[in-house]
Amino acid sequence: MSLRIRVSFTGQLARAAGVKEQTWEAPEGTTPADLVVALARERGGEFAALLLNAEGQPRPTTLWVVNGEQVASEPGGRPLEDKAEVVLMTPIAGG
Amino acid sequence: MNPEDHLSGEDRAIYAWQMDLPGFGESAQAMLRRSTALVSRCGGVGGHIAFSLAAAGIGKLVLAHAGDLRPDDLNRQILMRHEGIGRPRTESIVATLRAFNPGIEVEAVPENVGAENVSRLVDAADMVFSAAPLFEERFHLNRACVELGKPFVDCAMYGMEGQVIPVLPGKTACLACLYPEMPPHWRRRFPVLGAVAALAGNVGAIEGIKLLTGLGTSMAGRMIFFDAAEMRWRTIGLERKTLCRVCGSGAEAES
Repeated sequence: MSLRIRVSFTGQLARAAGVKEQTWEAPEGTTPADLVVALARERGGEFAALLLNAEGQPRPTTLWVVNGEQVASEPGGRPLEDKAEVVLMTPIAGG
Repeated sequence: MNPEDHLSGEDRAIYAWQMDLPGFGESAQAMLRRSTALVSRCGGVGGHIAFSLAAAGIGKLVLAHAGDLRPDDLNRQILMRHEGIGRPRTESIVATLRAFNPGIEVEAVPENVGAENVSRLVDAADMVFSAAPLFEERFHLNRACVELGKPFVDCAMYGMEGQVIPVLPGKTACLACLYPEMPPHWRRRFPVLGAVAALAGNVGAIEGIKLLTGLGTSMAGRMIFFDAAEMRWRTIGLERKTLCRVCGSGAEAES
């Protein structure tokens, strides 16, 4: 069974993606980190650089939100459930 | 209520409609009057924080903002004055606030927050508002607020989006819990519609007034995020990190 996940982007990430949200189909057992790496690989470029460091690991400064709650921006998190709502947020400091 | 908290006739005239708020009244008004707030940068976001705190009758504002006013500040920096271009921003800030509410104390500090002045500035405040365009300044404030146990409200915007994070040190996630290292992609110049900056600043002012007076329900521990392009609002539960380098066990390891 595959999962349908609704993913939203904010800040510089939305600007780099050119869209604010998309639906993503993923296999059961996909974690937030798996999702982030897969999205970065698909879109590449500036979008990927915002999400991953030079080693291809998720940047700890990007906020990951699952169903309204922040989760750790690192590998090994709890697998996502079908119809999960994920928000990926880049840090902002406009004052 | 202490004798010094009693409101004057002029106070009652100015703040009458505010004191009508359920759960506010004279006691909350008096709490505001004896409070000091530090606002780090009075630009697009921080100017609105300071203005709304002045309107609400905060006792004292300490406003940290260096540099001279530039023409490209004026699409958003509500405390500035056109005739102040080329002059220190603090001149416009003080003139505007004193003309608006001469009943509050305004101290302008023509410096940005940094390692040398942050402890002194934070220590003298009851509440701290963070609205600088650079993470370095925000991180200095965050660390000092955690060390000195001062509540603070981090307010930021980008384009049509804004976010506000009220922090109760030792109880809720601090800024370093969210951003454990310096965000590498943030740039000093960012797209800004003044009204969006105003929105972020005023949400921050509301959260600060809540923390100072007990009005309403504080969003400490959550981020308030909005996208004004879609008028979509979210509140996000934030994770306090036990290993945080500022408010968690990582701080002990660093010291």
